[in-house]
Amino acid sequence: MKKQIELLRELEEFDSILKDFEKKEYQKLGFLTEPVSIEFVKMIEKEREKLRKKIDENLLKEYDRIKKHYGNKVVVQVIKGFCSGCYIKLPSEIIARCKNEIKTCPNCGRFLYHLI
Amino acid sequence: MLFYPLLRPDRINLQIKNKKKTGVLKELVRMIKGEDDEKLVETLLKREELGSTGIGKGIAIPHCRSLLVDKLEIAVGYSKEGVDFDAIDKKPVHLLFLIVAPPHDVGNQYLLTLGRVAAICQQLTKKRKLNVPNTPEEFIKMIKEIEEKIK
Repeated sequence: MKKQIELLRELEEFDSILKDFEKKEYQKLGFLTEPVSIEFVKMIEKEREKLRKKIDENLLKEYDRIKKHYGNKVVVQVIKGFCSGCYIKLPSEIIARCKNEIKTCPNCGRFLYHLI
Repeated sequence: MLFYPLLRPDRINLQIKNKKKTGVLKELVRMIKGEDDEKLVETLLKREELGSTGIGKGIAIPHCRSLLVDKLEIAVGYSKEGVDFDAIDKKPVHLLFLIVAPPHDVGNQYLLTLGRVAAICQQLTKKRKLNVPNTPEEFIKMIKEIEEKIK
């Protein structure tokens, strides 16, 4: 079974792909069939729901809460010891632990993803 | 913005061996990550499920946003025999531009790059046959020349 942090990563990636689909610059590139059909929208919703169902209920609530608060950037990378959501320097204990467990940034509350 | 300065000879493989979508994506991902990365291949395949990035006339631009990279990454592949990529015109794909960026990239470089590559591909497909050079250095030179025309 996939770790919950990996499932959160997948949801963040899926949501960011969908966000691109809504952008005019992306739509102009011709990767999407225009106009977008109801079947396509339904298929996307189904895929997203399938992914969400695998995630722990409390984590999902927190994911939705952060998304509502910040608009985007729910799961963020730890880059060179910094949270790439709010750019605060993270305590080394959190950096070490977020490699294997769910950890949030003590400043902005976003989920941390450690890029190994 | 210009695309050719983002290309690196070590990330251009003009002799792609795989003939299937998953295999080719694995080869391209290996170039940008320096090793196999099943998770990134999965993300790319998930994007493909939402609609093929095989834009027709032998070209595909597989792309996705992923937390598995920390900056915009690009790889290019060419297969003389062609790859079954489920392209919109159902024809085999020969030239592939892989573009991956983090979900929140600085300066929206990801979408700008995708737009630039799409414009380059339009020029490439104007000719009846895709003429791809033999070496990565020559390939970059060819892209540079195309970009000079479409500035």
